[in-house]
Amino acid sequence: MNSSNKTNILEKYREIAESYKGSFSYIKDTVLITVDKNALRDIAETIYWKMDCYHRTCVGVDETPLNGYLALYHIFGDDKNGLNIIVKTITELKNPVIPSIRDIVPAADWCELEAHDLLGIVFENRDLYRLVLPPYWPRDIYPLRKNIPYNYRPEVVYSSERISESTETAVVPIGPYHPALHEPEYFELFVEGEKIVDVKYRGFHVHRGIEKLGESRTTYQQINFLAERICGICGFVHAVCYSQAVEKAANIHVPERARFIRSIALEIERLHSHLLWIGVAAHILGYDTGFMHSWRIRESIMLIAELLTGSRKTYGINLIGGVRRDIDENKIKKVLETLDYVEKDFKKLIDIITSVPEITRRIKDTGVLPKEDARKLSVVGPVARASGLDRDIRRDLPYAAYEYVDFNVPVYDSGDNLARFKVRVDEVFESISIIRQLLSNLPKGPVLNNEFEIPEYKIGVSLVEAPRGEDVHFVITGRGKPYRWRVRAPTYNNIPALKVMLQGCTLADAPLTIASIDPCFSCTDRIVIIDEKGFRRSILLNPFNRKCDLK
Amino acid sequence: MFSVIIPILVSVALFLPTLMDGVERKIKARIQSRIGPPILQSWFDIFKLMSKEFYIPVNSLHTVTLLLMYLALQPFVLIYLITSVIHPLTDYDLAITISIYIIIQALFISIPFTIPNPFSIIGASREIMLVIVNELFLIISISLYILYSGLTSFTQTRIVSFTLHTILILLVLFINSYVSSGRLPFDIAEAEPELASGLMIELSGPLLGLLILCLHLKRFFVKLLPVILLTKLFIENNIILLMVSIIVTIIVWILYSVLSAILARSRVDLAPITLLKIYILLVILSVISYVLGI
Amino acid sequence: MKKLDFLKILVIATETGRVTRKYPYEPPLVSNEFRGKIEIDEKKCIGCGACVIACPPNALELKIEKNILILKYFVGRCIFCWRCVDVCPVKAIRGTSDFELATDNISDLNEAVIHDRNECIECRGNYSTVKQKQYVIEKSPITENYVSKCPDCRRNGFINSIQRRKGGVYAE
Repeated sequence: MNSSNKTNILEKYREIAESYKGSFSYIKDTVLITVDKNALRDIAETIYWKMDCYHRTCVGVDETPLNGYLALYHIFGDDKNGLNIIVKTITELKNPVIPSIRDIVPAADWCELEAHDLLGIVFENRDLYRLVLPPYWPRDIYPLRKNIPYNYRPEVVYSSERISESTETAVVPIGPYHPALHEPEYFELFVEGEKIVDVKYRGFHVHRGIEKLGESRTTYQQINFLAERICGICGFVHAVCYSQAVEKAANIHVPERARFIRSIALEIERLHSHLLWIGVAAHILGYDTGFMHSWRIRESIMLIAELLTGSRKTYGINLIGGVRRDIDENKIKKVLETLDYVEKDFKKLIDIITSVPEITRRIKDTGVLPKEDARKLSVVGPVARASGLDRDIRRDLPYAAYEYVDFNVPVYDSGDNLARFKVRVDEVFESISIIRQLLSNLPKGPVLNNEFEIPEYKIGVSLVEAPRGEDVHFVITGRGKPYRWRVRAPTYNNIPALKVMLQGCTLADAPLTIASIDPCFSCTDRIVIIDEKGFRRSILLNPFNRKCDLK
Repeated sequence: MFSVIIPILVSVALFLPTLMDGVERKIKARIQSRIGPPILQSWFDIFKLMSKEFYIPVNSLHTVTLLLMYLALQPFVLIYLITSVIHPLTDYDLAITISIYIIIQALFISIPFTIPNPFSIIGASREIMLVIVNELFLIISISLYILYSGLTSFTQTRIVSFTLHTILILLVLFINSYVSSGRLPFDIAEAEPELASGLMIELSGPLLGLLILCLHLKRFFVKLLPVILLTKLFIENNIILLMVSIIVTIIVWILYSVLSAILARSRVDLAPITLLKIYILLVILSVISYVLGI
Repeated sequence: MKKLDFLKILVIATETGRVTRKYPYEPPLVSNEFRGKIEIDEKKCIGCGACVIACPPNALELKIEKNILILKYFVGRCIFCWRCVDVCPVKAIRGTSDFELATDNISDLNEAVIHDRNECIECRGNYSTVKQKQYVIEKSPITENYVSKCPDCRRNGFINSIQRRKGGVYAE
């Protein structure tokens, strides 16, 4: 994107900001517009629909120690022009009310509820219910406010809830512990015969309070390791995204070789994640042989991950300012050999899997997500690319070393399970070619930059294309540790799309549809026990209590 | 002599199916490039289940009654089949065997319908859709076989001729036996992930152990019957017929396990339609070739 | 025929054989790059506490008891990130590829390195460790008088000397 184009676009956003009497500033690829809360709905409509941007997330920040206000940042993304647009509003602490933009931007539904639960911001014109916290959590304790310490335990009285009952349709509960799922989620499917007519979802079973931990008892470099453990399958993505956010905020230079090594590790993670998903999809359809062979191929990728980074998963090589390990010639040779073998084997396996007759019949035309719904809900990743939306952060807002490589972005139109399957298969072959290009162009130089200073109260937004979609980290720097750290995992935007996909689907296709968005939760929830009488007892997982015993 | 051979063969027939299940798991593991469990693992599983606490599912005493009836009838029909090949019990052994088998299938379906658990009921309704198509054509094909050959009992010495219509009917019977044995791609009732083991979800402990044992016996029975009818084309002497049939059944079991390892699971609305098409085609071809005298 | 392609899985299965490893009857499959638990060399450690600051899950802790300083390493909390290996100034921590650490006795998982602390010549209190004092003396030009006092006494001495130079009294 050349600079004249860029200045035009920035001028357009400046005009929009000024027409709503807001302030405008930009740094590199992030535009910050501050408006009064009464203009929020109109400016959101302009940006989301007229300028055709996507909604990434919204972040509530307790800025009371700094200026006495609670702030709300809506982060929009202009992928075609490679910009992040942040719209900020403030409201006072005594009566925090902000208009809701959920009817204009349906993708903002969950993040508004989360800001309400954790910070106490009340949104007008919408129904507010507890999304993240359990229903018996005391009304006026907002965990993310600065006056609540991270290891505070409130006095609670546990209450029970009933599973929904219905006389017209049968209710099939799936979860929280269920052989079809790999992480705890709770779906209630209302079925008539075999057809699903309604879906109710309760998530957030494994909230660990990571954002609060990052603000209280970890230092800047330690958060890399904490972020890696947000997710088991795409952990390195979170570590890179966090350190890129801090590097952007503090203007830290990262050596070229370190950026290449980060990209190589990211692509290896994408390979292993997609191979894992293909095995799981085959297993759900009953084809265990495909599962075993797919994971056998994945094993060689885990071995090269161990060779390059020292660990099969949770690589632990990322730091702010670069990486901790270097690659030498022997390792490069071994990696290239393994990739040749993986490519051939994987191609044979995919030909076999797609020729098994039952698989082709069950995976086609099930779980359809139409393009308009996908655009309204701002879905990300392979789910978006399978419904015709051409979004890929590696190409639109290049980070790490992606500006030095050529690759295609597979896009399909049908929006069914088969399209999502094909997108992931194509991405595997693209990743293999990207790693080969990166390894052959690896520049020389240092791998870690140790000399930097991090100033306070600067904003950094960074995006990384995880195997499941785009991952957003938003950091406001503080002294020695961040002032606010917000993580928006890719599955967060994809789960609301499940309600659309599951309606009209048969019960037999439900597990495959749920698995096809590749759910990977970094959200919160309580453990739900359903006892014999059909009551639900909720047990608080004490998320803010875990590490208080360490002295 | 009969008093020695029959008990030996009956004991083999009661021990062998679970052993063959172990062999099947080993073969499936080999196709999946791994070392599977040892061959006797299925027997170890059943013993372990028998040693657990006896628990009746909630509000399901009638289910247990039906289950116990099923558990008694399944070994009975297998023993009846084996005995009637060597020593005829009545003149219509073939028809009686099939009738008792159909009663057993009806019992097997009604068991999960009586358990008050939505997963169990959904599993039962799926099983019913398959069973209706399958057992209908079992009755049709056995009736056609009796029509073609005039045999109503295994010891009758009418020579069955090696003709196209007989072969086609036997093919229908073999496909029927594959579907009845509850393997991929037709294990829709018990193994679909969202049902969390559908039919058998509320059973545990000794009840589950005995049910699994009877499922293995059922698999053996549904294979043994068409194999006996097939070997009757070649062999006269009944004792040799039975021993050869048992060996051929073992080979058929191995073939079926290879087939189930390379296919995926079908869906409840797709499977019965596919089966219907195949069965109708084969039965019509068989009738046509009988009429033409081939 | 393309329709019968799914039978080729049998060909693939025959070619690859059995890939299961008979662990634990066979050694585990780790490369020499694998990060396992760490070993602290007591002879080299100076008790500076850099590893304690860098450790993300607080598996390394410093405990101070009058005249001894204990560096405790609890394997149960270690995430094998080897940040301590990176930041140790004297390279006293070494990484191994040991990961089979399960035990039924929790005291197996606690390791400790004990250091003697110095005694201040002025207030007779304890500060730092003997080895760290030696390390500092070797590394930088510093007077014996300065380094044998504890940090509090040093600070008070410095403030007093400024007071005397400015000719006033320092009011706290």
